[in-house]
Amino acid sequence: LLPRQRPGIVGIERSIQQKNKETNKNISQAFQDLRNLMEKAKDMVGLSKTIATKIKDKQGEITEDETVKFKSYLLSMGIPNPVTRETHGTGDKYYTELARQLASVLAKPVEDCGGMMTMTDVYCRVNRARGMELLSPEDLLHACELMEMLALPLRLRTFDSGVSVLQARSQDEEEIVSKTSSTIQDKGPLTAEQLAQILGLSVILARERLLLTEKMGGVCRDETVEGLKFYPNLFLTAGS
Amino acid sequence: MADFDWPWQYKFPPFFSIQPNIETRKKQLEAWCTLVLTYQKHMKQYNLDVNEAQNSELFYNKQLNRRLNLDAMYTVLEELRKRGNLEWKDKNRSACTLMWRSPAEW
Repeated sequence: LLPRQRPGIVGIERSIQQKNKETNKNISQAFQDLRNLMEKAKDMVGLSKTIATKIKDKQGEITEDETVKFKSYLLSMGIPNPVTRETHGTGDKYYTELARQLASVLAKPVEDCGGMMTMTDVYCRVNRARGMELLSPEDLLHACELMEMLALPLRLRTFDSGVSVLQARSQDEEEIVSKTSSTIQDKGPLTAEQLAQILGLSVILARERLLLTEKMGGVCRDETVEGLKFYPNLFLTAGS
Repeated sequence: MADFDWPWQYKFPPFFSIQPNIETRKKQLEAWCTLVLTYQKHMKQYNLDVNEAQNSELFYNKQLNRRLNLDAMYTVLEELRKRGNLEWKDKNRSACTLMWRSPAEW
């Protein structure tokens, strides 16, 4: 391709110039293609918007097949458009299927973790197991939000602190509270880290357990520079 | 002077952190109010300077290495004021008068 190799600096310079020209051509071609692609996508977005407004005119009936289909179009283009979508069919076929699948895959691991798993852990496990066709965090969240409605054995739960977990339906809150407070009765004051070690849970979950128990009045806190420790709630149990 | 008889709460570390649980906090503040009043009565003191009180044994348990921080102190003192046992001497709330019995009882 290159012209006959000439000796000396001129030859080297010339060959470099030639290479530059080549890459420039490649790059500009790539951008050209990209622009065409975006042009096409723009049409799709415009079209889906007009369809959304059309559906709005017909407001209200429950989960028509048409809107479900339409949503899967939006999904395949990666345009999350919840505001105009939400009233037209609750959730989505893709999400419902995903929710079912997740529930069946995760039921066992969640049970093994003591009935609760943080969403970040869930995300990690699922995507690790999949390898290909990964889930986006948003997809996972949407699917989990539907679990409650589909009466699956798992459900999504958000704590006051904003931490989201996937919880087994069989898990009983009051049992957690009573178990946590009795652990603290037995072992004396504990931090979240210590409780996590005793119960074999992650620190985040242990912390949530303690906060939940505190909310119910089972334990009380001692906040110092050394950390946050939880004591049996003598204020409520011991008579003054 | 005879030793002051500290209540059990004084030896309980969580007593020195304001509790977020409403029921628990109610009990805690109640205990604090009683403690402050009985202590002042024992020492026969009527005035309390907030800055000085911070390092007094009342709010700082050296043995336990716990102290009530300033915000929490104000929470306790405001609770006392609501009950009618306390009056601020100035707007900055740096010093106050404590009454073992509220004016109504006198």
